Amino acid sequence: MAGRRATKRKEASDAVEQDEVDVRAVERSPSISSATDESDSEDIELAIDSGSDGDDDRSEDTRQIVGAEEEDEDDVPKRRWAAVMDDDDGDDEEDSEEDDEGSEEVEFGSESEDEDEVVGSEEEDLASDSSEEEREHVNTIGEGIPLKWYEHERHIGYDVEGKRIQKQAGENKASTVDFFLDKQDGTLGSKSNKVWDEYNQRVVELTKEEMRAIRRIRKGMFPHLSVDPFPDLLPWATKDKLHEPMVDLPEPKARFLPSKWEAAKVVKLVRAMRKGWIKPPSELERERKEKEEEESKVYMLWSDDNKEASWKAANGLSYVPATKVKLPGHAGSYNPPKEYMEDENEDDKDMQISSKQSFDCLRKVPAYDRFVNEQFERCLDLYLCPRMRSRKGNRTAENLQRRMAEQKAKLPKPSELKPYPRKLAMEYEHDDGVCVNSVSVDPAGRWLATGSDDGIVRVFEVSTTRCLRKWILPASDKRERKVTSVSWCPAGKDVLLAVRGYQVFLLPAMASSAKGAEDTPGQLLISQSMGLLAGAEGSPMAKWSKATAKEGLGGGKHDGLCVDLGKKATQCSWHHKGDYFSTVCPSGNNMAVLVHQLSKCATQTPFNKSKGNKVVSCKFHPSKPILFVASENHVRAFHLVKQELVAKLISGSGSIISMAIHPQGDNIIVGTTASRVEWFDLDLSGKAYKVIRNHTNTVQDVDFHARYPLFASASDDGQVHVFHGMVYNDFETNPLIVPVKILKNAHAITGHLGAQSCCFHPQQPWIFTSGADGKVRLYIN
Amino acid sequence: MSEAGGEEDGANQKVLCRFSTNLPSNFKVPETDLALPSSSTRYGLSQTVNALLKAAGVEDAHELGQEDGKQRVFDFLVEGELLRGELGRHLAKRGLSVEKTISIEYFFAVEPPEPTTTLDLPDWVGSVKVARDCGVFSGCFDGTVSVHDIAGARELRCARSAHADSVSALELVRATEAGNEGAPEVLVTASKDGTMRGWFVEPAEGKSDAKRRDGRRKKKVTKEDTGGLGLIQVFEFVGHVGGIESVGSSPAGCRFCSGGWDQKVRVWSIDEEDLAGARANASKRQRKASDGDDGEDEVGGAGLQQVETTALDGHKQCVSGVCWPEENLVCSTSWDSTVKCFDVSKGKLVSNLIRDSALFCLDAARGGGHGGSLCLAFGAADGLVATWDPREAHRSAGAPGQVALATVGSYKSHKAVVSAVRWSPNSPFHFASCDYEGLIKVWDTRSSMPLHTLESHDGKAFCLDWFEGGLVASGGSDSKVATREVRVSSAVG
Repeated sequence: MAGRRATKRKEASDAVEQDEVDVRAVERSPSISSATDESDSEDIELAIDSGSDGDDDRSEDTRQIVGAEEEDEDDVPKRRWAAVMDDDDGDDEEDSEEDDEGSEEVEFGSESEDEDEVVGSEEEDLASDSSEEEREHVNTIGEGIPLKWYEHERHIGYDVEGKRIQKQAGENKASTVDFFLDKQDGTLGSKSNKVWDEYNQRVVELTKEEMRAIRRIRKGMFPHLSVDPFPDLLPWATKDKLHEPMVDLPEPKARFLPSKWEAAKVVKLVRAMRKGWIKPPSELERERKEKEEEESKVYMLWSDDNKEASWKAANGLSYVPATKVKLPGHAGSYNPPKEYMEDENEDDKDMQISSKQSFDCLRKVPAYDRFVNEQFERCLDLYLCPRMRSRKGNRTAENLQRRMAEQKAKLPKPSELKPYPRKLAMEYEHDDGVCVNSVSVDPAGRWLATGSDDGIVRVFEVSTTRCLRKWILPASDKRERKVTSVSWCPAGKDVLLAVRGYQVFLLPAMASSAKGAEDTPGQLLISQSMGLLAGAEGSPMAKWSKATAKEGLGGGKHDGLCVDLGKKATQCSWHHKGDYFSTVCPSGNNMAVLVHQLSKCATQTPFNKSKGNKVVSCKFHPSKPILFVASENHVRAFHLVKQELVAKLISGSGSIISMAIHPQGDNIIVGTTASRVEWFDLDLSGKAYKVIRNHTNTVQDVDFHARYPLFASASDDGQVHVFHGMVYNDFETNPLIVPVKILKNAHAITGHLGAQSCCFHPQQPWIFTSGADGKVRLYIN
Repeated sequence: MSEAGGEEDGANQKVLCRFSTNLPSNFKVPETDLALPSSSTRYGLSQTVNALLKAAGVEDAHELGQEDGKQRVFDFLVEGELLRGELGRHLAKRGLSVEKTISIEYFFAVEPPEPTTTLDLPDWVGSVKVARDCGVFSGCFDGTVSVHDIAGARELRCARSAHADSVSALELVRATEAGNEGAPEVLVTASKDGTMRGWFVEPAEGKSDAKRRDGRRKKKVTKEDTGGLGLIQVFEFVGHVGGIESVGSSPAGCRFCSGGWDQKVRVWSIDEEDLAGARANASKRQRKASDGDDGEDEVGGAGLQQVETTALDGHKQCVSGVCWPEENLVCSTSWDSTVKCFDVSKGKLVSNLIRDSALFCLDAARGGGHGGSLCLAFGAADGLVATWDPREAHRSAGAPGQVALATVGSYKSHKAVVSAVRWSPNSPFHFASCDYEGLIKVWDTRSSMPLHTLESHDGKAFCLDWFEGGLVASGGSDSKVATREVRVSSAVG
């Protein structure tokens, strides 16, 4: 079949060009390899196509031919192609092959002469020689010259002598009917295994093997079957440690020597890294990310560059954005739906904005007649709007809670601050419902004195609650029955100070009424002072006299001293040495504060002028000659020797009711009517260091513990709060204040009054509280 | 029996027990292993033992049960602690296996005391002391000392104003060294006004004049008892400043210690010579008094003045309780929350225990605690009663005076201030405590729960004494002395 077709072609080509066929064939044949090299040439692709879907019988035929003609096709493909070419050329003779081969010689030598002579020898050459040499000489135009330069020429390249080499018939063939027919037949091009090698101007037939290789390449496989991409792994190195080394050579010494070059390199790198010339990958990655983030950050294109500037104008006014107008809804449309049209019958106030008119298009909407008015009003609105910026920005409930929780977490737990009074241990009995205004414990902690509304001073034994003494104080004025303040002499002299109405009484507290009993120090002191009474000239401020208090218990009477102040006194307190004591008469102006000396029965006015509008309390510094005077809004500290004001403390809110001095003297707490307890640190400032707002009503009394870091406040809400108040001796740490215990329902509220007084035990962490309900209670740790 | 129990669930689990006892042989049960349900309680075990005794053939009903046919009540000691609640839980709490045989010791339980007998007194009772011969001494807050009969009608035998202020402590001190049983005893009364006096107690009928004088003096004492007693002041102990809170006598006699508000423990001694002199002095004065005007026999007519032999420093606050458990050892508690033990002969602090609340009372187990060890019990303001062995602490702490907390047993049941503790006179395991709620609690050191809680006073109970016969007397702010029998068998383990 192939043979027939070949004859047909032959006839066609003969018609165009005669005699040259052989020569051309001879000329082209050696350059096949170059054509195969140019695997991108179209014809080869065509051939591949044809190969892939070509008929089996046809390729079989070709192979047969090849096989017939050659024995060792694998080794020398060129010869095969040559044979194909011969076949192509349509010569059935066997010797044509020889002709073809012989033509090589022609190329080297002269053109198309003495073919027969050389053939034999050449064939051997071909068989033995490498094909490259032959190929070079087939196409004389050279490798780098594109074929299209010769596209319109009749020749292609030049021979040794500089003569033009004529294009072979194949060139023309491409445009001839024969070529076309070949293509249609499938003998050439896409449907056959023959391809036109343009470069070498010849037809190349691809062997089945080559076709397969091409097919494999197209499939992405290795061209040769012999290539095994996954050879079986030879387990010459296993993960198991071998007993003996693979190579039993001794390790070369070089392996044990540190590489100098490497060391130098490392040093260089390290230095570079240190200086930041090079960076580790992680660093680089981080930088890159940062950069990306920076680049990708969304920002307001039209915002002001300086944000602060936008909040605050140059003139100091801050920018307040105008409130936004609500967007118009359907009702505001120029062409509203029917339901939004104003209904004449309906006088619905809500529909005030509803449009009266409807326009079928925007073009017909007239100008808004109230535009100017509205703008003006809007401007007015803005002009009058309060230009206040709320500074409470982050004051949300969660934030507050969080902050409180943080503060709480910082404070130590109450359980770490033991001991402090916790539970009720004893009650000291009074007549029912008598408001107990004041309690005081003797410095040893054995006796408790109370002063109550019925004008009686009682002394109890702390440990047994036994009432040992009971004095009914003689009153100068019937209306002023209340004992407002009692105070036990701090120097262990057993003198009890009690304020009732206009008078201050000095009582020999633990004097025995039994005959023959020794006089107590207090009794001695008082009797000494009595001796002075006769000789002492009457002071204008205060009248000292002998007083006899009726004792309700135990029989017998004790003589005491009475100081008549002429004004209603409210409070008294001792100097720490137990000789001086101070009294407060709130309405006394410059005589509001008086300092008395027991041993001399003398009275002094420390101030010439009235200090503060209403003196409430007055206490001595525990060690220095300083007198603290609390008026309604201020606490003033006066140095009694230097005669000067040392400090002036301003209460934040409400008027001061009570005051207590820390045993070291540098801290003061006051209780105010505004239900606050304020802690002042004299070293810090004139303002409160801490304001404690735990009570809900007037804080009636405050007290410091003499030994433990405790203080307490008693309030009209019936509660007594106990705090840990640690004062540090270094000047850097501020006092630590921790609420530790709320003595709830310490006292029942009776006539708006709750707990009236609180007093710590001098040694134990115990607290005595008294209230308007007539109870005096002891809370112990 | 036991293997059946093994398969049951936890509630019906059986525990192998073996009973043992120190009781007389007729109360002994056969020493065999018994499988008892783990849920059995003290009551159940008690019934079991009773049943076993019956089975063992203790015929005498009077011996086994009491007269009215009631069964004996036993208490059970499991692994050193009294059984309270279910047996299984008791074991689980102490991490003991229920699979081993558990040895349970049983003895007679302290039976609930009989109803109280109360003695009315003129004022709050601050101190009470029971003596064998004389009866119940009670000191009141008005300074009077009264003596009541210990048995029978508990009639008032004597009442006398002894101090100007409340009597805070009463103690009987033998005037001779130990061994002399018939030695004269001196009643030491201490008051909150700082005075301390020694009194000789003698029958009033022998001295008609004394009796007559007593009758004259005490107008409120309407009925003069035939078996009346007279208190004759023989000593005036001078030294304390401020109130005295507690007095403790030496076990050997002749010496006693006292503590009070001057923060010192003072040691005093009296001997027979002093006593004889003082008696002569007192009788002379009495004769004079009976001859002359009787009005001069005021409170605390002068006795022979005595000064303390040693003053032991150490406490920083009021010394609230003292006791003298051994010849040279004086222990004291104070409001400064410490228990201190002093060596009297050297006047040195031996051991020190720091607590966290003010201590109000102290007592030492008489005749030593269990196994001859020294055991102190003290009560605190916060309601905690604790026991402590200072010598054990001394051993563990090394140097004397060091703080040791390890060997403190605490008994928590009181809700108010514990005002007094007292060891049982014949058991090293039992003590009683009273508090400001008027309750007396009887404790066994081997149980953290009180054995009995006795409501004794309407107000506060201030003082407590446990006499050898089992008589517990307490005084309180209801002006009464409550006495009741709390019998603790001496065979308690």
